[in-house]
Amino acid sequence: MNVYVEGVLALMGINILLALSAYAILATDRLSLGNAGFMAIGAYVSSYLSVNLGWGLLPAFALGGLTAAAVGLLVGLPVLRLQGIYFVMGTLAFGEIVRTFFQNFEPTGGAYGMRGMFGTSLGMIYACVAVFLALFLAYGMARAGLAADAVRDDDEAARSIGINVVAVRLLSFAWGALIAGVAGALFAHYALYIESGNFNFLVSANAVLFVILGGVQTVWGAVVGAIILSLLPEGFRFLADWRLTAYGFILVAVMALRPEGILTRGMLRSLRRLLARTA
Amino acid sequence: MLAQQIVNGITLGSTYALIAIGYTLVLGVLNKLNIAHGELFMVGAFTGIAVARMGAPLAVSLLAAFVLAGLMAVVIERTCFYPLRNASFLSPMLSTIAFGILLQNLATQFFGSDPSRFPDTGASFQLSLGTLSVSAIHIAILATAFGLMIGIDLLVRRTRWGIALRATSDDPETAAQQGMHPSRVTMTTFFVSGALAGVAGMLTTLVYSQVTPHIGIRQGLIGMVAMVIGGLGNLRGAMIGGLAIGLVETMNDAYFSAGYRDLVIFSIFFAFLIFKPEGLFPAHRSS
Amino acid sequence: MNRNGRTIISLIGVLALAFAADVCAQKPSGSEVRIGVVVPVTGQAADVGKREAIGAQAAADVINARGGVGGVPIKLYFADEGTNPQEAIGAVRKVAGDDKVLAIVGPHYSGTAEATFPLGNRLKIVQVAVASSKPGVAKANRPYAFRNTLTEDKIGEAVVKAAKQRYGLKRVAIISDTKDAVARSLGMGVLPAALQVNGIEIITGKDPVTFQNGDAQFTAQVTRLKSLNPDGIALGALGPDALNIILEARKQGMTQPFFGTAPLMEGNLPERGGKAVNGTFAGSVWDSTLDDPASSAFKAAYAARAKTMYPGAFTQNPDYYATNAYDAVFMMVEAMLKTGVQNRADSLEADRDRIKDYFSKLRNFKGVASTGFNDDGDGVKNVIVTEARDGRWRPVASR
Repeated sequence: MNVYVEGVLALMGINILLALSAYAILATDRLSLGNAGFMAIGAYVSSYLSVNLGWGLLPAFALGGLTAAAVGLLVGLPVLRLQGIYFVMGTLAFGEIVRTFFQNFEPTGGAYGMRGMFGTSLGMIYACVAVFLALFLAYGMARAGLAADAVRDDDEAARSIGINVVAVRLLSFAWGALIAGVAGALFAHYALYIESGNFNFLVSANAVLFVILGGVQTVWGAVVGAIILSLLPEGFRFLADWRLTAYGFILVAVMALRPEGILTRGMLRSLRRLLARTA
Repeated sequence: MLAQQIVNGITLGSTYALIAIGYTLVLGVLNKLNIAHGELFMVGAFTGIAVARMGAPLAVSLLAAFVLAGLMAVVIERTCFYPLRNASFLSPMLSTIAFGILLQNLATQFFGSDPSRFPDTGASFQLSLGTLSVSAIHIAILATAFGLMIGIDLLVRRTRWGIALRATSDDPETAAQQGMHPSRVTMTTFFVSGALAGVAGMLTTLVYSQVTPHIGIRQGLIGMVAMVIGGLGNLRGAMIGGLAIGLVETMNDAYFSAGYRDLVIFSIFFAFLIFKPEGLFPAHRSS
Repeated sequence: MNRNGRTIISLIGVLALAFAADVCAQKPSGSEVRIGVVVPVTGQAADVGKREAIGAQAAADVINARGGVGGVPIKLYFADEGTNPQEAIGAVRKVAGDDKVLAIVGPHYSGTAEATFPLGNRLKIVQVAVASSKPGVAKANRPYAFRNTLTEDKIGEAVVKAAKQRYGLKRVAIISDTKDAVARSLGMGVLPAALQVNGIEIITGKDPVTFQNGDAQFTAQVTRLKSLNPDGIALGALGPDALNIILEARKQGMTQPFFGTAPLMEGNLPERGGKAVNGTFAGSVWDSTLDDPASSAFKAAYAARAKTMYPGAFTQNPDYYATNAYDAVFMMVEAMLKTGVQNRADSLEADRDRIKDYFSKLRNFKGVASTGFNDDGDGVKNVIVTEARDGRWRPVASR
């Protein structure tokens, strides 16, 4: 396969994972602008394990993701107590702290970054996408998933029927952290080189934008949004210089004209009916 | 040297204060964050550079930065906030993220991603007060920034706009009934917040030599930090917060290590959010 | 002679002929010989990178004017590395994988090279970095990593010695980057060592004044430097940052001289800094005032190409980075001709290895400012100490 095409597909896969991680938290009606921090944790931990300690890829990736999830639990506890804007800013602060931490942390390269990783293949990336997506769909149909929906739609009502809102949010937060961590591990071993600047605020912001554009109501929205926004800059290559500007315009336009995103629950239902009819 | 570093810190902090004030104004009137606020700083900087490159005197560049950044803020309000006023709480803020990215890409388009500098303004004199050394530009920054801060304070407390602003943020419905057009109040507020950020952008670039299209990300974040430390929704708190961060950053670079600069600042930010989210000077009304 | 003897002799004859034919068939086949050029044309080092690109293309022009590589024209495949390891990795992947080049000129910095060299080893393709000068980088990445540059420790010693001679330095303060790989190793390793060797006291001891590459302002740092009252200041910095530091220092009333090594020569410091930077010392391996035959030929080829490729104020005059790229292309062509590179689709790996093997033994190359590589894969060159004066870098002394 053409190296260029492979690169686009690989990054698209990682973007889908990032979108899923943002979705996990958005689905409980909380906006996290710090998922790049979890991605960084997954990336650096897995890289240290595989490069410095000689671990195999699978265990390194797994521990990278789990470390991110553990940090998610630890940080989630105090941060999830914050309301509205404060929560957003709290996640933002977290993301920046992680980034600047790795910028100074010598054992993983500090400002020079870390190199020597390799091994991620397209197959690996999309296998992870498939697994996480399946888990999301299974969860959505289980009782726990319905609880999350309830939490998203109405906090008070959910609490009144006995749902532990805090627990649901915390677990979703850690779940999102896990996915972001795995995305980071895959990214590090694909890019062959990482540095703290790879995990900045823009990465967190983009993860959220994927979901918003695709539609925050269903998990497919995250997938669709990530695919479209990954391919758009490539599709715009004929615009040469104006490529990124056009990309920005599209983002703003969609937000203003269709804030619920491309895929809504209603649209999904219509699509399903359409598919059922043609089957 | 300590006295000199304090002067350095306050000068830097006054630019941060201008950004924080703008952030607070919008937060106060809409209870929402304009995450593209940092980009208004960047817009002001590049406007100033572009106008100066055409040969205009510094005062004209400053005015241009003021006006254009202010207008851009109004555009943000009309594009990201007004159409989404009935959508979910998060939507407008997300839209501003997108708008910020658009502005960064536009700036890259027109100015390139490499740092841009202000054309040379010629000689600047140094004022020596004992062991302190203050340049004309530093004095200009301090004067402009403090002048604007005092001006905003007066405007908010004494003018009709200021009263309308506070009324609208306290209770939009009653304010509307009283004849204060919330839409107009909001747009004016955005203009002022953008103009302040734009001036900060131009002053910073003038003194500190260079700017890139992505500089707004950090400046916006610092503004947010200053706002929270000072006290969300409190104008004077925002000013103090900005000055405080300027001092922290300068002392860190002078006595500690530049590499840890942002780690220190964002850790303080996080600590405040968790332990003292109302900031050093809590606003007396609930936000 | 009996029939067996005649058969044996004929067999040997045939074998000999076949062998001779093989050796004579050293000319490459195909319609073009491909070399990759991965240098920054955007990002912090864009101006230098463009000069490097022009230098490489100028070499290709000269070679093609002479008939190409054994009759086959050379074509350079450019990919922007953006002064950014991430993009550089993508660029190397592209020229090696999609464009299938035989060898790569580039990347630029040490920070970038440290990321792409391991990839080059995995892809088994030679890279010749054109500005990486942090000690040890090529050594850690044998066998496919090469650098047509002189490592900083050698330049540092020469520069400090010359600066001490000119300015009578006894006590020096160091200001160092904490972010960029080369600048940091200069400020924390190379410059302190060079100062010690020359018997100069380092006022800042083991803790230099610090900043981050790309910082927008340096007031705090310069204030601290000023309070230390040094005779001179050593810059562990890249050109653009050094410029800002010196300008801020002059603003705060400091008159002491500054000095650094090769990275100072980027960023157009003398052009942009004017009077404020006069007297700043740096180090180089070539100077555009040299007029030996090789330098003159290079300057002519460069000037011709610079008219149409990235024309502009900052690419008009070649610097030594451009000679590194120019010489690198010639080295590759020499390798191809001498090792019989075949340039067929199925000989790609073998051809790349031939170039690698030739480079590991290249000691007597006759280039503009290059003589080949040492055992570590680094370049061997002469040092020219330069100072900024009246808008240009001018040579001070040469060893």
